[in-house]
Amino acid sequence: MVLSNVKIHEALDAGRLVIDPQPQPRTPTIAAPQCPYDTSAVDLTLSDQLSIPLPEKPFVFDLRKGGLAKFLSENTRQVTIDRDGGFALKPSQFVLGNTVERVGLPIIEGQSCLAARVEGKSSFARCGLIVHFTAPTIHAGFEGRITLEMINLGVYPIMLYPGMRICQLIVEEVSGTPFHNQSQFQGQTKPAGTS
Amino acid sequence: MATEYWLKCKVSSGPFPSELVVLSTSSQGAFSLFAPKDVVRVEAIPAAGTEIDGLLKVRLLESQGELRLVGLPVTPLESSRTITVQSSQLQPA
Repeated sequence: MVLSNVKIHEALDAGRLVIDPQPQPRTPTIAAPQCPYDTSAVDLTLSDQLSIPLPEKPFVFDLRKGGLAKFLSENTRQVTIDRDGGFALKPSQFVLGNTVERVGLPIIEGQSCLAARVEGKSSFARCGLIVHFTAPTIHAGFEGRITLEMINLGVYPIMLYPGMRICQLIVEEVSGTPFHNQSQFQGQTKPAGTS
Repeated sequence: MATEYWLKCKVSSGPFPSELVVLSTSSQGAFSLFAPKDVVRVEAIPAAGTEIDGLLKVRLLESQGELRLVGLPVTPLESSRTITVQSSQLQPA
């Protein structure tokens, strides 16, 4: 079951959901009208770090050979997005980004836990920007920043700025208590997911 | 307190026959959105490439002096769905 914004607030207060820093304000006010909580999702923001694949090297991804994370880390260029100038994501360009916020979905014995999905924003979708593809699931037990696999499918460059609301988190109840299955990307802080 | 009002805006034709493009300004800056026709009031559907005056249905959430916190029917491309506007930008529904 998808959590409403009220239930998301309750989960944050109870520590069943961790979003650090916590999106504010919780409800819109005249002083702070830009509320990140929609009825059944909460917006997360883009960090200033991008990881851009280097196109020079001839390589074929072969998951059977392993070491994918190492290759991704070694064959990408790290870019810090200029706060004022932004980063122009060109048509068909693929980059990895991540969220400012660290998300935690703790598994606590004897309590029901939460999982989540990261989804794009309709405003960016209209421009042709995909912020994730095929990998929206954030499993119960995850803790870290969310990596965004971004590609511009549109025909015009799209400006990316740090702090912009880039994606939304949909939070769901998990039925039953899962056993731990540590993910390769657990605790990730870099866009390429290599800690 | 939520009450329906009309927000003054500029309207042009949208990418689908059921939609209109709405442009307006809030205290946070200019914003735009794709609105279904039933939440926009215009004298006539604008021809392609033209922009006319119109009204967008909004919900009044809070008032403070001349400032009004309103909820938009659709999330704009540039901001969240709640914005502040001047009372002079609103008309009672």
